[in-house]
Amino acid sequence: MELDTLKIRVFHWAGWISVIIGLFALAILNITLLSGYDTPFSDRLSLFIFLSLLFGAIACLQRMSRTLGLWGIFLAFFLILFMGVMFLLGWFIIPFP
Amino acid sequence: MNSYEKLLAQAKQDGPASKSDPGRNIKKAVATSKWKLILSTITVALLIVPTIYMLTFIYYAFGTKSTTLMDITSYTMYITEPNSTLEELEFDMDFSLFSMDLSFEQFKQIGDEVYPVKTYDLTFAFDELVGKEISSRLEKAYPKYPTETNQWLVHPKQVPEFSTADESLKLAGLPEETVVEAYLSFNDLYAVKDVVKSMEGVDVAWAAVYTGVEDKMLSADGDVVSPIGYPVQADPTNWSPFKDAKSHEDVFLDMLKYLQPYEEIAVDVSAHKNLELAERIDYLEKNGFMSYGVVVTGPKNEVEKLQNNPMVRYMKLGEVKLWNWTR
Repeated sequence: MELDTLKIRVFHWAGWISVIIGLFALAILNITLLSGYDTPFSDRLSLFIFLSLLFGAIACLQRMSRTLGLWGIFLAFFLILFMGVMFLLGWFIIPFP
Repeated sequence: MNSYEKLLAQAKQDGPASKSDPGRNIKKAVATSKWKLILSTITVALLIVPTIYMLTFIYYAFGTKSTTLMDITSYTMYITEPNSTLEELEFDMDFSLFSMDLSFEQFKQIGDEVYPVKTYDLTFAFDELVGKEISSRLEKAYPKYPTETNQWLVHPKQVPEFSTADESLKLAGLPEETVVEAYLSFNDLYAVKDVVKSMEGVDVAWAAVYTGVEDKMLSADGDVVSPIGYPVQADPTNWSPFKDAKSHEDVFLDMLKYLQPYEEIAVDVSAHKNLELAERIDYLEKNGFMSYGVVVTGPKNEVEKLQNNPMVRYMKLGEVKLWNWTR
């Protein structure tokens, strides 16, 4: 019984951590886009995406924390989509090396 | 007491404790919901800016392309700004929410060298020009608000506002160790190749082309128009639309046709100029290319000699630089 509660808590925390890391990465991206300057964390965006995905995947293993896990994974995938779109379309719209 | 009664007694004993659990659970559920609501609101708020950025990139990649806006801008400069060139690597593009900033340097050939003369900072919201800042390093600024008579290159039927005698005096007063840019207007219409042949010792940098409206500088609708023309010298830079062109006249006409659907943007970029492209393209296709004036650049003495050229009717002195002629 105690072990089950502990397990649920661990998965819940993994879900929350995934969401919070995803939101943190998204906030950094917003600051970078709006200010035009890189923050000290900007170059670690891929690490945050990885951590958000990892914790999100862990949270998805448990039914009770699956929503949080999917939320974190959604944020990570959004960031991956954003980086992909910026990189690919950057080739189209900026014709300079 | 049997085991069932024992269990009941135990349950009664645990009663108050088990009553408090639902309350704690409810508090916990409320707190969790509250945080979920807060974080989901933050999520939506933080998704807005990156989503708009992606839409902006998609618009400039597949809608009105950023490269199209850049081409419109550069073509407009080539055909409306006498003796003007641009360099690809001097272009700078920056994107923000539903807008694009385009900055670039404009160059002029004076003597044997090319000098940066203006810096443009243009802001487009979608495909509409919403901001324009120009910083000029020119000592002789071309009239900012063109009228029917204030042009530096004038048709044989026009009389300019400047005095050629004054300009000649200014030219004569310059040291011999200088190179100059001069705007020469002719007494008739000439083919550009004939003009180039008759002007040895200088570079013919830009030719103003007669498009049927320059004798009055008014379009058929009565709008004041500005001279248009094309660079005459071969331009080997990769960026230039005139690179490897067999006929600059054909490239010029192609550029006018390219600009025609975007005339509004081109007019905004080229400030205070009516292009009236449809009318002018129609005239050029029917009547060909004849020039009524050119911009030349070269040693001061050589330009001075051109005043005796029978073709030349008016002369306006442009930029002056220290000697850089190496031919």
